[in-house]
Amino acid sequence: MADTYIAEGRILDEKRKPIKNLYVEAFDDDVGLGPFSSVFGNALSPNDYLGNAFTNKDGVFRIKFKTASFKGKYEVFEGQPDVYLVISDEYGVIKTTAVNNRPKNNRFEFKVTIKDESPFFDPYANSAQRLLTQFTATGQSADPALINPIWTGPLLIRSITSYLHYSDPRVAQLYGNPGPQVSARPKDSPDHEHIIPWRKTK
Amino acid sequence: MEKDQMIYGLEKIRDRREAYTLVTHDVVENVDVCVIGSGAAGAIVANKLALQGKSVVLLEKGGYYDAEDMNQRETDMISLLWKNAGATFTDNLRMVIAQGQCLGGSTVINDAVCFKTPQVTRDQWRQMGVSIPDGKWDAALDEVWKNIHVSKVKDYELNENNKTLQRACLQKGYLSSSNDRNCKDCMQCGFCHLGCHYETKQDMLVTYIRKAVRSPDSDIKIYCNCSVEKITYSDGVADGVEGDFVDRTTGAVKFKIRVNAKVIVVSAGAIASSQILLKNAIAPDRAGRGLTFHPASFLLGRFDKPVNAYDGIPMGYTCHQFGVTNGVKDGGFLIESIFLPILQFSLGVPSFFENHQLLMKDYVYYAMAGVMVRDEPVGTVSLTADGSAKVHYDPSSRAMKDFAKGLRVLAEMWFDAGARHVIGGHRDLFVLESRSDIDRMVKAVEENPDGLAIASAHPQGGNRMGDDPSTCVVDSNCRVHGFSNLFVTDASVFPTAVGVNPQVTVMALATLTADYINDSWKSQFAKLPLSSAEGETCSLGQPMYCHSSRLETMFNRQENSMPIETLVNKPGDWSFDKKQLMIRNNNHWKGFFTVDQDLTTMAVKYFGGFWKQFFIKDGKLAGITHPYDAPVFADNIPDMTSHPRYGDVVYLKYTGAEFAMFYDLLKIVDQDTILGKAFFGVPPNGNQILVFSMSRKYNVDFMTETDHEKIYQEHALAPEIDKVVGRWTGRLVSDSAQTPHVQTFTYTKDNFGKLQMQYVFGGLLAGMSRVVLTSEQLLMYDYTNWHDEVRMVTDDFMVGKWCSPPTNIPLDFGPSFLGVETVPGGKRFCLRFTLKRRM
Ligand SMILES: Cc1cc2nc3c(=O)[nH]c(=O)nc-3n(C[C@H](O)[C@H](O)[C@H](O)COP(=O)(O)OP(=O)(O)OC[C@H]3O[C@@H](n4cnc5c(N)ncnc54)[C@H](O)[C@@H]3O)c2cc1C
Ligand code: SF4
Repeated sequence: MADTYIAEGRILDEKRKPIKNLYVEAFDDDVGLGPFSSVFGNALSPNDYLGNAFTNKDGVFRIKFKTASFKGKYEVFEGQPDVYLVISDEYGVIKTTAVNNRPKNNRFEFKVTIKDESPFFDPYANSAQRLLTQFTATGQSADPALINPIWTGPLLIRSITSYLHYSDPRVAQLYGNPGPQVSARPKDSPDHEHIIPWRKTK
Repeated sequence: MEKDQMIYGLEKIRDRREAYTLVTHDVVENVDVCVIGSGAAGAIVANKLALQGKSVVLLEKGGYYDAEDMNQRETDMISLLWKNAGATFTDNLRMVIAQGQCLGGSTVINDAVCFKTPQVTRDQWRQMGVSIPDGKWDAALDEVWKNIHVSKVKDYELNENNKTLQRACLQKGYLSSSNDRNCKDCMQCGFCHLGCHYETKQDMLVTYIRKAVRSPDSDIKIYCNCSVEKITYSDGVADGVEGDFVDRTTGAVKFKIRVNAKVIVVSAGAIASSQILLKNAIAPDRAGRGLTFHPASFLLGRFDKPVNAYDGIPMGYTCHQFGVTNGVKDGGFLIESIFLPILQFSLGVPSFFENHQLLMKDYVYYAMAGVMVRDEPVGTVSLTADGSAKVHYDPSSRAMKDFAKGLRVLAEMWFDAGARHVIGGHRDLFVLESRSDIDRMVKAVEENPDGLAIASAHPQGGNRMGDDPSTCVVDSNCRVHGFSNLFVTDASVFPTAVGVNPQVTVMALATLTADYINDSWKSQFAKLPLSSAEGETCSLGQPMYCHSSRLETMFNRQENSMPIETLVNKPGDWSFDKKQLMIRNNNHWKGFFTVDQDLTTMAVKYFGGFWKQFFIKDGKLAGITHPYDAPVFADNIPDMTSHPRYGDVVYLKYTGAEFAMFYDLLKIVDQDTILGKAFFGVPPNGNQILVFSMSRKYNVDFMTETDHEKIYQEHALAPEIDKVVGRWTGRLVSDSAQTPHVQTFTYTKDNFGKLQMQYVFGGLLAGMSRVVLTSEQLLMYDYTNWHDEVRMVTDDFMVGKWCSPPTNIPLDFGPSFLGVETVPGGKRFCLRFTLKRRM
């Protein structure tokens, strides 16, 4: 039937294993701006809802829809839909696909791989700030009544100046300590050798 | 069967050595054993149980970092690997306490020095009620020794710093030796405190943890970035552990975990283990006492030729002459070589301003060693109002005598070895220009003991081990007295300071504990029932704990599975389950917003909140929606409809003109649970404004003011004095949602047996209250003219109100959490709260 469409496909993980029980929702991207706002069924979103399905044990899903789903009252120019998928597991949305506007015999075919696309954590970002924040947090377990300010005050000030001054490993060199023997981001140079260069120079 | 990847956490770092999975939602685990803390003790317990076929979950507060993440930069590494980024102090800020907080615990940042538990200490502990026979000790020590690849530091590995101490010892004829270390082919980089980049240090991460994670026979999951807060139990049986996944950068709780287990092992290290017990009212009269620290004070010898002490193994040599390793029974001390990277060095030397600069400029000319005293167990851990650990410690006069003696010996040794001058840690005398200043330094230590800078990397004790349940927290198998399946094993169980660097002793005890659990698994633990509790994790059964994204998905995926009549409420149908602390309230459906911690949701949570009630009117189903804080009762008509996106849903159409632009969609997912979305617009389209849930049953943390009043009147009584003694943490009651912990009440008896109460409100306002017990309730008065009224519901749960004096002024204003009551004499404001013994 000419007015029946199918969005179908298979969803695999990075190891090419099928993922079952994913909830797949199909939308029509009406304004051509890509899948941007319809995830939460927003009325102000111009994107039409086409249908949903769960993936089976082979990771396969199939969503049938009709012309009426995407031809709204005023969408006179709408020819065929621009279909994209919003895929969620039990815990939330895990992927929104790119638009598919090339159906074959009214079938929109999707091959989806779910990858972990979350950003990397930078273990070295803002270290100095983190240190100083922790320093301030120490106040919580301290008992002002027991602190000897004459002793502790200067010690704390000195600690903070120490942190500020000696945190930079280049400063260590001024005092004759060659400092770190690996680069600041060792994983950026995976082939680095494990040697202690300072022994060579001495 | 393929196993799950085994290390989980919040930090995705590239090229990890072990498989790692990001935690992206709340977690519930059901396993045989849950271990808390992955340091010297926890890693071993988890490994040994997992390799013996038990399913194990290991929870670690710190993150997981490999050798290749360790970049030898102090600010980077201290903030990643050290507890509180190194800034843990005693309450008087006098002593800094170093501990690790990462996968592998303190073993990742320690100096790898290994000592077997000295015979003297073992004998003393035995006299104190620790019944571990020598044969068992020896076997456990040998097992550990082998697994962490201990070997003696070779002569060529002793750098000039270590050799200077060696020469000085030999010259004096003192008993001394090179250290044993758990290191294979040490690169001698000197950065032990910053994690071993070369992976030669055989810490827990590269030994026990790696083996457990890689072995095809083990069943273990490790959750990092997970701070354990709760242990749940009843009648001496612990049944679960609850924790928070905390974002390192923001400190925000991202997700929750609940682990149901048959056996629970606490190995969070000294201080933290006591803190966990205290927070959960486990052995509250014994936990947190008897801490020892091995406080150490350093002396630098300034030599004419560069010593370059930074270059090489920091701790390679020890003088045993005056310590437990030489048979000294009463206290004593070891003198150990040590050196520090520059930032730690600058923090460690107690000098100021120009003085400091002068000192630092000679960095390469110093030899450094510390006097590490075997101190008495006189320290304590207690909880601050917000549940942080507060450590109190004043070294005993005997310990100070040992310091005086040890510093004298060490200063003499440095001068003997040719030091030009010696720099010490007493604030009254930093620099010893010559031998004749030694007496002055010793006098300074004797006369002004508080002036001596001390530091600790060996906190021990706090949960004393021993067979006497009235004084000890754990028995000789490390099982908590009074519990059948709760263990504590780590440095916190030491009855006294061990006298030598403690890691191997910790590991041996953990080995014995794991063996005990394995050996008695069938007879004692296998048959224990597994709890089905979900803690504070989000699920269909308790949607009040869900984030919006999860609730959204639940709503979308879940089918409406109940007939629409399920909606109908039955006013008056209200009950309270004391044991579970659950309220069943069928007067209406209590609404819950999501737990997302953004500002708007928070504002809605505390000042909003709503209920919905459904009934049959004129033979038809009808409903009302009521926000707690406004006199609004919005009439609506529920109807079943088929929505193009959501399928079968209850469509709630508001009938009043002012709400005509709104509608709700509901899915009834079981007898007591509804998921809902609120929209603005015209169905089936409409602008979603909210996703929420509703329930007929919720726990007391979510109680409304009406619930509170009912429990206060019908389920609570005046407590017995003895039953209230202890620490209670409180939440305010608000109709809308769960409020955070805001107050702590600590009841104690004074010398005359009279009850008194110390309160802390919001971590700021503190004071004492007089307590008066009537047959009705407990009354508490402080200097204000408001007073508290408290009644007890169970041994661990009380309800109370903080009330103004009655007045005749009309009191129909103010925020909803200040309820108004009519009492003889007029009306009064009351702030309602609940008190729990466990946080
Ligand atoms: C700088 C330094 C140098 C040292 N050098 C030596 C040495 O050379 N030789 C030696 O024998 N000893 C040394 N020690 C001491 C030794 O490392 C410790 O005594 C030993 O590791 C203690 O083991 P533990 O299992 O009790 O605690 P830890 O090894 O500290 O492990 C406890 C773990 O529990 C985790 N934890 C805490 N609270 C929670 C919570 N609420 N939820 C989840 N996890 C939690 C922590 O993050 C930590 O990873 C050193 C210590 C330090 C800090
Ligand atoms: S001194 Fe040895 S054990 Fe310590 S960090 Fe360097 S290589 Fe590792």
